[in-house]
Amino acid sequence: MTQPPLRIYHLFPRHMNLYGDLGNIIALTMRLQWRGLAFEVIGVNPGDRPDFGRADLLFMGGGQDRGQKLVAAYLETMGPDIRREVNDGLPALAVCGGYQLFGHYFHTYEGDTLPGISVFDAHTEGGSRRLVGNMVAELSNAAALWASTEERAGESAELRTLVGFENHSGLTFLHEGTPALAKVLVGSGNAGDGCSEGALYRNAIGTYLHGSLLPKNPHVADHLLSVALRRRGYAGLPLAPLDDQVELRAHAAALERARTAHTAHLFES
Amino acid sequence: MIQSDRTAENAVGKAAQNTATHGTELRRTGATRRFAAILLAKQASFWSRALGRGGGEALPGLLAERVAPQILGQLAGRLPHGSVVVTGTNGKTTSSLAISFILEGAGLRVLRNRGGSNLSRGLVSALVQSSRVTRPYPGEDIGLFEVDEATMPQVMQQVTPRVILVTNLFRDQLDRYGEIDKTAALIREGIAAAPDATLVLNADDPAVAALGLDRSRTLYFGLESEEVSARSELAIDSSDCPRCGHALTFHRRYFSHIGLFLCPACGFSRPPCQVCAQSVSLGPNGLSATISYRGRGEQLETSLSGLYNLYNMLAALAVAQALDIPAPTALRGLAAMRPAFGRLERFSRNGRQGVIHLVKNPTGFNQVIENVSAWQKRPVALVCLNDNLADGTDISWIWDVDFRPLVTAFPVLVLSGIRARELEVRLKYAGAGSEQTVVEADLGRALDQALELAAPGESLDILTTYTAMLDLRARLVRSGELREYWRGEAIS
Repeated sequence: MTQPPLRIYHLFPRHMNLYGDLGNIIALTMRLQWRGLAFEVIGVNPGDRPDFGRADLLFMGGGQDRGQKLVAAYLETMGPDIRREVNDGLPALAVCGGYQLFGHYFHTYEGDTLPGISVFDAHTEGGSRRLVGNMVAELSNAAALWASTEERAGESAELRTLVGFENHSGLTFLHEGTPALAKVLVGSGNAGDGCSEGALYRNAIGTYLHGSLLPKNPHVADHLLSVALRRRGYAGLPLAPLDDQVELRAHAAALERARTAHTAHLFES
Repeated sequence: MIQSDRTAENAVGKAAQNTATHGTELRRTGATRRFAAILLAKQASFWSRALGRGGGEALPGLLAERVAPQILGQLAGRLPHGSVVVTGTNGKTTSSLAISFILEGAGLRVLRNRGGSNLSRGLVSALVQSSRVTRPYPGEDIGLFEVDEATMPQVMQQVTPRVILVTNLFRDQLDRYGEIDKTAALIREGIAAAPDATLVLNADDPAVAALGLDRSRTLYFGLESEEVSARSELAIDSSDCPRCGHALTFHRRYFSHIGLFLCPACGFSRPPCQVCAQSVSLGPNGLSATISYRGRGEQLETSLSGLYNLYNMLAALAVAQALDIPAPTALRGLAAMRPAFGRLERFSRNGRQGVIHLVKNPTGFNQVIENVSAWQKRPVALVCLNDNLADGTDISWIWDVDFRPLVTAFPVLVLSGIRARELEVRLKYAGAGSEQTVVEADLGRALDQALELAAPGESLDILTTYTAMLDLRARLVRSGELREYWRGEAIS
């Protein structure tokens, strides 16, 4: 039985691809390929009129200020469609600049207000300093619910931490309707206060973590894929486990580096 | 840190400027300050070398600037043939070295800042080291200054160069400077301070070419070749028109966003160039090209390989043309050129030749990969990734590098450095088999292992980020396999 290809909609790949965001697409597609599952990556660019009803997974990365400003208006027109599908369970991952635009609005430090698409009940305020560094966060209870038995795909499903790198000046504040994705263990996180990181609404994930996020957090990659496949009625769940030794070692190394890097850099400078 | 530093230095500089207008008394204080600054910097330089703290490129300049904030402009202003400033993301060091060989061949004594010390303190260090307490100005004829992109506004407040070369603008060390648009704005701010300087610009890089709009004295270099075209779609850093923001179209793309571009909206297009490579032949041990120079066709031969090095050579020739240097002198200079620090430097051990390739950003990495993967099959390569400040602490950029040619070309890849495990994942997702990658976090052991895996008579390509390169070099210098840089390089 051949499955129709899983359709990954990559939002604004030309403008929102700053911090190795492509790594997330590479991780998703390779993990499908290794399982013998077909996929298709559809780039959505300014001026396109995509049919989000056909999307199985959404991804949006971060961008330069100019790029983010430019795409905000285009994204806004797609907002109602995206919100409708996310409410219907469409999995999505929005990183950094994309995450900011998935909230209600981004009020920049320069005084502009970029419209958001209100997938997350959250807003972002521009800050005066950049929050830069390795980050470790622990998945919140809400997020830990993912690993329902039907999703367990090998050892990496046991991971409860997220590792990556943050680089943002915007501070994101979550409101009542959206719980945090994770609790910061090392780093600054959403509001720069070292408390919460990222947002979770239904199957949509927002986060400041790049690095890229998905290759060394394979549990998140497999969660997104599992949800996408389940929504499509794929019968082969749980996903066949992959040999994730390399990914798990990178996860552990990033965790270790985050804990030591701060002091290391103090000595270096 | 850099941001606040710069503001502080600016403030000190402005204060000094105000005071300096108050008369001879204070001007005499300025001379005394310069004298003290030179003396202090010389001592710092002596001690930092004596204590084995490297070439002493930053500290003397830092101290001298604290004592005499205007010292950069004062000393640079005394160079009889003025100065050349080189900036841009990639190729600063190699094109500067090429320019220095050309200038020396033209009989000029050249003062350079060295060893990647391209913040203002690095320039000041070079200037004070060349000055004497008894002769408080540099002894050379012309200055050749590599300037970090973000430092351009600050340096250009004091230095008024004859020529400013901008090599290219790629994404680099994002966690330090932010984004390519901001970098372009900083360079623009810097060059605005020198309206009479000749701008030498890469015609094939849209963001660089746009710096020449509204400038009268510009000289463009570029490539017009049918033989070269880009293989990778990754790491296209600047695909929008720098003038109007519309998506650019490329008639031909050589690599990343470098090529013959056109904006369909506003009509901004790749400008015609004065120093232009037409017929290009790339090989493992060098490259050759036909180049128009001062309106005539000339043959360029160099032992540097890789398309990016062709651009470095073109940049150097364009600067030579801006300085009215005759073709034979310029080409002889390039032929005599030796590799720069960590850029295609070679050493040998037990009949194997090691070649060091510095990689700093996606485009540079892609270019090196293309260069080392294009030729005959070799058994092994060594790839090193560190994430110290000078490497950029954010390693996400390796996900914008296309490693597939490397995976296809080398049966074994030894991976090392602080973030070797991230490299291992990256290569797995680029198609490397589980037996194909070997992780050895310790750089010394990784080098030994990779050299052993290379067959006698073969060469080992080492692709490494900056601080891992410094570490490897230091080991090779200790074992006598490489010369020490600041001693080996004559500081005339």
